[in-house]
Amino acid sequence: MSKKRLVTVDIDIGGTFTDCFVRYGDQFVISKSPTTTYDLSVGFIRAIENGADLLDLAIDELLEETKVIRYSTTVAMNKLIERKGPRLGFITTEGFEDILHIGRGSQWADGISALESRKIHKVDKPKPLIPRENVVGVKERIDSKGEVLRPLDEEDFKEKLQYLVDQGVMGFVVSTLWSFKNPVHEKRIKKLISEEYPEYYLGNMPVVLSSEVLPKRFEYTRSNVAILNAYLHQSIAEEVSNIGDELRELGYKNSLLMVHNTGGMAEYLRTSAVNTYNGGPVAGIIGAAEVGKIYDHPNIVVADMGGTSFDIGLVVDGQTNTYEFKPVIDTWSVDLTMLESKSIGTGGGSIARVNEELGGRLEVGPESAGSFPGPVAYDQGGTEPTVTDADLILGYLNPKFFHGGNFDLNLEKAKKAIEEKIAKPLGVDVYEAAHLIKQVCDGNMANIIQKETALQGYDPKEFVVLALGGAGPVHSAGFASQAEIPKTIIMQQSPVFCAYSSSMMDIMHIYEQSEHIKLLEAGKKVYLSDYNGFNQIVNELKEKAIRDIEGEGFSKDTIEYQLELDMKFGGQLNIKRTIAPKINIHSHEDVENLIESFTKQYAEAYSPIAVFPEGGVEIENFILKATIPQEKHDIPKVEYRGEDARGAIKGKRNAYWSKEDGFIETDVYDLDKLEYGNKVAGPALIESPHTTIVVPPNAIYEVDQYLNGSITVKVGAFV
Amino acid sequence: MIDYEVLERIDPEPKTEFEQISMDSLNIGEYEIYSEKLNQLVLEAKEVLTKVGISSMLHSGDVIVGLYTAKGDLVAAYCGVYLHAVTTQIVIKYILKHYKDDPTIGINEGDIFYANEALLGGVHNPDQVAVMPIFHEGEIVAWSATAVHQPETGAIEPGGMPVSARSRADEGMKLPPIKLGENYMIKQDLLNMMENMVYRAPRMQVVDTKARVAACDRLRVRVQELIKKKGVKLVTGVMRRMLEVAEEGARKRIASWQDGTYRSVSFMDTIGIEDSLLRCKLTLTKKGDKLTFDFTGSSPENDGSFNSFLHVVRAHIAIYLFGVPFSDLPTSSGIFSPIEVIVPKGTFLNANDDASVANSPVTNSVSLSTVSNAFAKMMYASGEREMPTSGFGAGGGAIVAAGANQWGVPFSDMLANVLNSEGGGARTDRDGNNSFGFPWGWWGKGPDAEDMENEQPHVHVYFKHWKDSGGFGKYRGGAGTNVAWAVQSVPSLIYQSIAKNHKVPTVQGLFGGYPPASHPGLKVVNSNYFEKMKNGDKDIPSSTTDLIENKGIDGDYIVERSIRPATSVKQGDIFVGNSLGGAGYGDVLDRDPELVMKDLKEELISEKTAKNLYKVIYDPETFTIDREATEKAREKERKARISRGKPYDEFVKEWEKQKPAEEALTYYGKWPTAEKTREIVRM
Repeated sequence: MSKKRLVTVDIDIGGTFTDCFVRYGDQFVISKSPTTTYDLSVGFIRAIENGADLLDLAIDELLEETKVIRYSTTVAMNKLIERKGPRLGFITTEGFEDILHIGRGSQWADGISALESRKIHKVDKPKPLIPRENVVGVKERIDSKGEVLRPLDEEDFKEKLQYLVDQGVMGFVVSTLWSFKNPVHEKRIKKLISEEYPEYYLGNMPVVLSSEVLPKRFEYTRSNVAILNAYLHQSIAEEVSNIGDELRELGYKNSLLMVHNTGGMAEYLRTSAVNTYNGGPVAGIIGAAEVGKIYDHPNIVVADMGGTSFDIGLVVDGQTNTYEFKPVIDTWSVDLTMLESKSIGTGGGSIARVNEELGGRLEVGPESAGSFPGPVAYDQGGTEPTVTDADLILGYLNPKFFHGGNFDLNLEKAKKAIEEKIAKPLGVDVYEAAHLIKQVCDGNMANIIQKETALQGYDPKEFVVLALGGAGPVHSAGFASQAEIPKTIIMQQSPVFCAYSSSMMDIMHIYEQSEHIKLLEAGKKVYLSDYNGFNQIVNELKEKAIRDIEGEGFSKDTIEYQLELDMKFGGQLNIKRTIAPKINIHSHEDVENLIESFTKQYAEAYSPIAVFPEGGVEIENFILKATIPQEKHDIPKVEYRGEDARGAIKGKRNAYWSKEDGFIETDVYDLDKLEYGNKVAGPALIESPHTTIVVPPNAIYEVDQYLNGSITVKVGAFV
Repeated sequence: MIDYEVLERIDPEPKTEFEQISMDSLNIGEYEIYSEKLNQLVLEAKEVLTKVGISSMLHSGDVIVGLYTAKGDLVAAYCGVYLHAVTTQIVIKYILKHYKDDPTIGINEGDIFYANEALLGGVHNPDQVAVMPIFHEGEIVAWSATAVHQPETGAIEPGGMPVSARSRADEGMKLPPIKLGENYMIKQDLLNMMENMVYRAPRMQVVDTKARVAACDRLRVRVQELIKKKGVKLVTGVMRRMLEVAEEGARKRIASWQDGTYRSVSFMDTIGIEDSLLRCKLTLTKKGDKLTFDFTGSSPENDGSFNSFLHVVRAHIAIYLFGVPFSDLPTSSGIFSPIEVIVPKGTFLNANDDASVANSPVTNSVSLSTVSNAFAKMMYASGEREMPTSGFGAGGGAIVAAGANQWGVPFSDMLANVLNSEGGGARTDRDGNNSFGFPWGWWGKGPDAEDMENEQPHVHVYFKHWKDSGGFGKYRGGAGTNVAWAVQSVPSLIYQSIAKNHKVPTVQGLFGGYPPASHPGLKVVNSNYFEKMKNGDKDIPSSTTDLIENKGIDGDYIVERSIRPATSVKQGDIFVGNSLGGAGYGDVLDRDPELVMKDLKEELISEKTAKNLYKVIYDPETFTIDREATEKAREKERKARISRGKPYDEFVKEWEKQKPAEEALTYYGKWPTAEKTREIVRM
């Protein structure tokens, strides 16, 4: 074995499956294992073991050669959607106890569509993560200059702390006014909590300070970020420490990186919980853009159907660097830099039910059976019929070849569940019931695709779907055609695409700090002359970056820095994020260049008409990006072998395509035997150990030079 | 100069042959995709507007970006405030009618028009609008427009909405549509003129004027790009279809409601400079697919600043229609085709040309309230249970601060956190939202305290929900907020408030629900606030109730009208403001006692309210409800009500004898019919 070959492992922990992508020199393998929600490290290690098996290696042999392990997780998102976080207390400045609940007024509009938000008689503010009765206001006040206006009343605070403890809170979030300017009171509060309630007394109760999590102006968004971190902290912390321990025991000594929603990643111990929110889907968007370059498809709907959720992201004109303009996590406004993606609760594990209250309407999701107990067919105690159960009954899934035959599916139990819970109440037979479940599920997914394309002003016909996730290729022809997108690409890596994508990402940390600096005085030609104030902030952020990145085992010499500044013309409330030409300033010329650069970027983004340097030029926030570029790989090409795909047929199976035709004997192909140029006309089923590609009637599957495939469906065809 | 014919032209212009051909040539699916595309373009331009501008009203959502047909009909708008979207049609139609063929003006590619004259399509002077024609091969094919409320106009008081204005002469800069620029460039001389006229906040005027134009131009560019890609027919066809879809949808929906006459009355308690009751009377008639809003019987105009013009009333009706019954239809003027609005000239809702309309939107909170209540009745009669709501708080808690800020720059701006947090009306099945938003533009965001303190030289003493402010009922109106500012780093600051309802709430409850509470104006002068803060005293107030009840701060407490002309407040002194709660729904005795306890825990109601009004008996330490005792107390109250009751005829007889005190009727008109009783002479 050559020690020079590059070996990397990428993992994406989804709600149902843990996906693994191993690059082993010129080879790559993909593997999966059910997500073990009771202890995520178990599924994590199993997925790597499965990958090692495919390379004929023992896991410790693989890990010994592995240079880096990267992973993304949806645990944070699931905890939030399910509202299963800990009971927290919120400590703020007295007189401002309602900041979370006032939420700048129209908080109800955050995280919902423009159309929904027009119905003002229907909208509701979100249920707070911290109920108002668990909020206390402390007697203290810092002003806008960072000076103490009112000292912290410690005696009063201790009484309020006692009240919160009596309420049974399991953690504290501290966010006082102007704490990012002067965190003295927040820090003192943390100390008082630890003095009053040492760890042994309360156990592992986090105290999260807003000034540490996000030292930026705006108490509402800063508080939300701090709360989300505290709310998600415990689950993330437990998860990563278990995974870290397991890997160490297996002899792995290199970096363990977590994918961030910024589009970068960092060492797991230096990752805050909010940054992991949506990490997998964000990685998928970056990976999709890379794939788009190969295929010359600038517009891609990245549609990832896993066991629990359906995530979509857009690549438009080849770009992925569009950050959320008004970033919202669930329904909470946050002032964070994060890439955009959307999610609904529809997946293979989504539970189907007949809603008697709504006139016997068939509904699919958002509740999921997860991977434990999972769909009824998993035979692990699940009793609620799911989408996977329906797919099995329809003949799309092979009960003996699920996950390559490692996992038998129980068709009879699935049938019984759908028969009793869906078919009988609806008065249809079990096959029609299963087909209805698939159609409702596909319709749900098509709706969100349409919402994100047509309703955003893009023409879906100009897009292709990149179908990801284990269940994606089973349903992609269905949801894409309903969303009027004629073509779907299915990569070999589709079943583990988010994991695959993280192998294409760079290590990146983002550090932010609010500081009001005037570069140019209003109405005068007076420029900033105190360069130290500016440089000191940059240098402090750089020091943080070096500390983190060296801690991750990289040399500080490999770091590439980019400084972005939130800038504005004097008096404006809004800022424009501007890439600074240099990260430090040392001369009048540097200041002028920075102003010129801001003015240029401002004019390009908005209009030259709006430029107004006479009003002064000011900086509000510093954002330092520290990147360690990672090695990228090409996908190997193969030779053309002709259209005839018959050599890949491995058998036949009855599959159900419509109520009219019922079951049709359908060819089953082996995905691994299909070659460049092969064409498979539907109806057909193409199997691999990780997924089944469902090619309905009216559709055709073609294999390209990278051994990836595409399904083309007649738009509007009934599939 | 004034053209009443144009002022009436709010519904769509007749369809042209080209529009018909364009509509006919649309392929299946093109309307769905490209109507949404136009909405997205409007949204993009709106982002430019809010990113570039300065004034807090931009961020509060008192803005629109609109796309209009070649003839000036609204087809898509980001709102903001539907008001401007509707009235800006008049500006465009005026320009087309009077300037197009005028050789001294004309309409050319690259022209930028600008206006704020209330009688020529404005609302009141602060609302300034930029308009640009969109050309294709030498022909006007559409118009883009942006409007933002400017919190300074160079009027007799700072803030753009002078409470003490007596006539239009007191209102500051008034621009009929002017050509502000040519060849996509703003003329510096005209910008200088504006700067000079709006001398209290010149920087804000210049930047926000540029912001309006920049956003308008962005929409112009994007529409031209779309035309280049998809052809002028597609864009024209989609725009006309948007008008027709709205009209068809509106007619269909109106037809589905119960024919009938529905009445509603609301009151104002001020004309600005002095207090008086004013009546707004609405008779809403629904027949077939048509609606008629008739405001006959409303009080006569006054010589204060609380008057309005007819087109502004129409635009306020649109706020309700687009927000509730037509919230799923395109935001286009098509909805106006089946609607007639009657407002007799000489009433305060349709005053004569010289009347001050400085506070016309706040005046029209009576329109919002009466329209909402009359509609609720019609919805009930039609079997619709989801749409009716009690009135949303609409006190117009606009408080202005002006002076030099801590950075030495002159400013005059709205304190928008309180403005954006009025309470939502109670629904038929649940409470209204607390601190719901800004009733004229619901989606606006209030700034954070840190945001305001960064640019304004005062500190917030507190900003929180105002206890007992939401109208009580089976379902409670959403709470409003209360706030206090202490002047910090400058010797003094000017404050002004146009918030009304310090005596009589305008908004009414439904089916026994209470109206929201009223709130007086309050100041503490010669205060020792900062000294107490420095000392770390324990008794510094954290709400207005606390401030008044405990008087922890030494100083002179001045209780006054909520509406306050510009006044200087010294360093260390405290100015108090509030937003209104929403109105309640249903009988207080039907409120679930658990909800009453929840309100108590969340400090939304007082113990007094829980006990005396909701009649809930509970343990104040543990909030445990004594259900039996509660039921008994409620039963007792029900019996007491019966014993206080009277036969209907007897009640009417007594009620008709009731009359408010004479001093409350100065501007009301003749009691009770509100007919005109005197001539108003303005100078």
